[in-house]
Amino acid sequence: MNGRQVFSLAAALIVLACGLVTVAEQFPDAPGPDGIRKGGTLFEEQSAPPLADPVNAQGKRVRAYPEQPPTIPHTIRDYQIDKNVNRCLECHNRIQTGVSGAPMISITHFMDRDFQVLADVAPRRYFCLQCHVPQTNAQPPVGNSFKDVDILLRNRKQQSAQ
Amino acid sequence: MAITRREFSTASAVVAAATAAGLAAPAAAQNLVSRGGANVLQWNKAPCRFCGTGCSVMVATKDNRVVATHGDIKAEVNRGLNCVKGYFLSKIMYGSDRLTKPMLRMTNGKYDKNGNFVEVSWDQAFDVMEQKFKQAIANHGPDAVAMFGSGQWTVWEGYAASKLMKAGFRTNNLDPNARHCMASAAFGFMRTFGIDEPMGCYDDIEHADAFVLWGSNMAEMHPILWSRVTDRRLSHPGCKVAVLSTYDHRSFELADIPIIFPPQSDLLILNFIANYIIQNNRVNTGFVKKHTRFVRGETNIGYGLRDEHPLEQNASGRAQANTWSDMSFEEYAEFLKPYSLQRVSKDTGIPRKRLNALAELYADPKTRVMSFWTMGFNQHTRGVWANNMIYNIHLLTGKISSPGNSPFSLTGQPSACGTAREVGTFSHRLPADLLVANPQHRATAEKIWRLPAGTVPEKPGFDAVAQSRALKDGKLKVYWTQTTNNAQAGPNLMGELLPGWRNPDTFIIVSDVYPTTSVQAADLILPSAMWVEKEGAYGNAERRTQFWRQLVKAPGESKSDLWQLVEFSKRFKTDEVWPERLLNQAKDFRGKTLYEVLFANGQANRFANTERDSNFANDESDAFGFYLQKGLFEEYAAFGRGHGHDLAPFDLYHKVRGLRWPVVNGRETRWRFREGYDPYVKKGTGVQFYGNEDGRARIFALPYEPPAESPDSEYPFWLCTGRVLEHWHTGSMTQRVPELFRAVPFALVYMHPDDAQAQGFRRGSEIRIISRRGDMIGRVETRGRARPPKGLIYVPFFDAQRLINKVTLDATDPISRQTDFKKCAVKLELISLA
Amino acid sequence: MSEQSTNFRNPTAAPSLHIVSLIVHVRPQKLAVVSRWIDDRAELQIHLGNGESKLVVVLETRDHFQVNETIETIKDQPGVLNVVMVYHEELALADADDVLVEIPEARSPEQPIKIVGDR
Repeated sequence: MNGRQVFSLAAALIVLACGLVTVAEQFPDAPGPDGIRKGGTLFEEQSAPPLADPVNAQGKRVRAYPEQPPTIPHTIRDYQIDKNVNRCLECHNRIQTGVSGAPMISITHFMDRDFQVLADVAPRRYFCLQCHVPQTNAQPPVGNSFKDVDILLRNRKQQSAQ
Repeated sequence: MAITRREFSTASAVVAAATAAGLAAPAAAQNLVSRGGANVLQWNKAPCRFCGTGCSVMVATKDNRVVATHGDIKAEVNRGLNCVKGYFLSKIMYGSDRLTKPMLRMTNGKYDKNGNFVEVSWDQAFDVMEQKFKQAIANHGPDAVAMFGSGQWTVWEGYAASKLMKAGFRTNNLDPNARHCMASAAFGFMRTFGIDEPMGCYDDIEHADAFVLWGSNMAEMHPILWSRVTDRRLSHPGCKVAVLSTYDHRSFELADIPIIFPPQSDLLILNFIANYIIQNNRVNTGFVKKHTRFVRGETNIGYGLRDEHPLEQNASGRAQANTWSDMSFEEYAEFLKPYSLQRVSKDTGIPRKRLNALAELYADPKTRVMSFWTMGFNQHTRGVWANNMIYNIHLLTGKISSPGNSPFSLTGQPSACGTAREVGTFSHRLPADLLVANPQHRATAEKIWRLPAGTVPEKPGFDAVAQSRALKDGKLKVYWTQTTNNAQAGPNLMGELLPGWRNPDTFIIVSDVYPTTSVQAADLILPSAMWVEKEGAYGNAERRTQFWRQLVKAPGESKSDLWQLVEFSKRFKTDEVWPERLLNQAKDFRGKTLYEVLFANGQANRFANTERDSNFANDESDAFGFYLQKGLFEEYAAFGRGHGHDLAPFDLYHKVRGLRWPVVNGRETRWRFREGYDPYVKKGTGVQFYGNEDGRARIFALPYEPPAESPDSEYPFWLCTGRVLEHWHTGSMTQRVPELFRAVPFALVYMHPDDAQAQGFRRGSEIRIISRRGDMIGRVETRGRARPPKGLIYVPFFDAQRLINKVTLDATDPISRQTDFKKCAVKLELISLA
Repeated sequence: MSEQSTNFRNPTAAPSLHIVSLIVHVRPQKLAVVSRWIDDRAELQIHLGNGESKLVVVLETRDHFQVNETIETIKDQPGVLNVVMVYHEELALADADDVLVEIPEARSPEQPIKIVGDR
């Protein structure tokens, strides 16, 4: 890099640095609707909440619908899952559940791509965390109004009873 | 007769099994099922709303609500499986902050760039938009307006946008967010093969003996394809998996050959493998002689930064970056010689044994090998080169276009291929690979669109990054984005994008479903319908086109992007937006609205609403009085039929789980360019790369060139950005699903424990990440799922509360104009130890 | 977990009834033997057959674990080529004999479970 290039690079950096100072001043945050981020804060940097580590579930978590993969109700820190070892299956595989008392993985997990039932867990289902995830106590900034089908059915029953 | 729950379930079980076994269910059982009316859910198919894998899901609806979703067992792609995001699709539409009314920034009843958002009617919203568009076009010409779209647009939405911008407003200032995602892949295909999109398909997975992941973390980003790879690896003896990345991640759990390489040195490794193949006489000479030619690509092509940037000053190849010249095989072999085992091992720190093991997967003629890549290659200032270089390796060995031998470019969005690429939403393209700069291509488009010659402008428009710069510079005045969140996903937010959007001279319109970062930065917000709230079509990474029906109504006043585009076109007459020159030449078009010219043109409106399946709603077709989606699709399909992009008839797609184009005589194509599979290959040729006139694929000589920005003493760390399994892109949908939010609530700063210790941090410390452009505050994670080597940190971009793109650099590949989100230099400062 | 806590059923406490349908593929010459063996078992019931090689069998059990075991047992019978599970539903045992309310407009005589794309 010759002297002239160094100079122009330095000049560009100064321009960029000045740009940084003036961006927020030049464009005051205009109000906006609240979402995951609070409205009107785009130019600000917000402090980060502490790490939220997964927690053990209190009581049984009911699924939102029958097909939902259950969330993991316990912490899985330092679990080894790779092509040689699968810590999850050490308790949840069929033959282990007698000893571990853990729920057995679903019967569907024994089927291959062509729905043949295999003697052991199907390799396509091997990596548990693709579908089953632990839960932290972090509070979502926005709610969700998904309605359980049982609620819809009960509403219908009530309507037809009236 | 009363029936019980048990009887009902038993009958359902019998009917289901009978259907699967191909037996007729007894009428009694069928009747019983139908009598359990209250419990019956309506199940319909739809492709997943998230990534480019294109899983099919079954969607259950009840009382105008989606109540359940599960993996579609009839879909070849996923055979009943979904990833955790897919399983929670049922909840993505029900975030409590759903947008349901148009909103405009106003003060005292009038539009004001700094005003508060006030609810307005669609009429009022379109009034302001119309005025802004007309003003900008009248005062500054059509190139003062622009649109930014999406690989999440349905096929017809992207197609309608393409027509409206390129033929209606007559500007090519239309670009999709796919520019950030796979523009490098698209240019790679065009340069090597002369035709876009993969030659192979997912079926390759069940045929391959080895898999190589190039900078792709499929375990998290394409989980269902990963489950197919896992299935093959664990059930096919001798199968091997190589994983290459700049940091350790979940895909390494399955790796037989794990390789961590320094950022940008993938270019060294690619050339090393090609060199290894030649030096060890493992070239498939017959294939290479018959089906390839060698070319030398232009070098020193710059970094896609602004013209005045010092890095662009001495980039001698910048103006002709996408050019090449012929060379011989011997010259190519000579060119590769410097990429020796010794040198590459020394420069990358990868043990020689491991490099050889990797090269041998490709070199061994008995090993069928599949290469996968996504953002590691594509978001790269030499991304197009990396794409060309992986094809080099597959071409040298002839391992291409046959079952299990497959260089495979994965995509990140559900319709990056089907919409963004195929219908011509890039600023330089028209449908079916046609280019705006080519006069014959423009003439083809004008003919199919029944428009006068000269309607489509020849100058390519602003690409994604250029759009942000043009807004900041005031060259663009009006900007409309749909189905995308560029104010979170675009690079260098503080330096370019936010100053552009908040520039007092610009008017920004954002169509979306939730108050995303982009919505918060907009001037006018339009509430959109999403996914199964409209009839749609997506095209996945293996050329599979999939349709779905409208299953529920969109909430409040929200309307689909398709309705927005078509309805808005009614507001303009040709006289207002076309020049006299064009109007004089086409007198019939005078005084007509763009709606009449583009959509009610006797072609896109030729299918009556009576042709619809009356079991399903279709709000757009009801609004316009004809089967709009079918009309647009069939008009668009005319571009590709007979030209290697054949699509099946519209109605067929509603019946099947997708078809891979070209679909000729009702048959899909699994392996292109290969005789026996691809009907476009001439008999007797065996293989024909018909995208190029000479039928040959190009092998490119391309060197290593350094990245745009590297760590130095002031900014000592590499920053790499990306995704996590539980969230998709900017988290606008997945952050609103409670289970997914709780699983991974915040973006963290993943770093090596030794680096953390040396900086005086520990796990959980609050730190500031600072680049030359901006900063972000986050918490340190030293034992998370991403395990960077020393000197590199990883931060995902899904979290609207922590905008890592304030920090990233807007350097792009100069050919594809795709940003390198994987490499820039940062420093770290402690805020609190925790 | 507001939307979840409103669910009234607690699956840990209440015993449940599993209803499972299976397709049993049989060597045609063994069809009679296999059919008799299935008929002899209380939890299994043959609902359909093609008279040659396929049977549609429904399993009712209160024990989740018995589902997989039963499939394995059937598979072990001489003449059985394969068993495929098609349908599995878990009912609360207490609700199993509830009479369902009939909603007239939900009736659709020709296709009770509507899945678009089915031929």
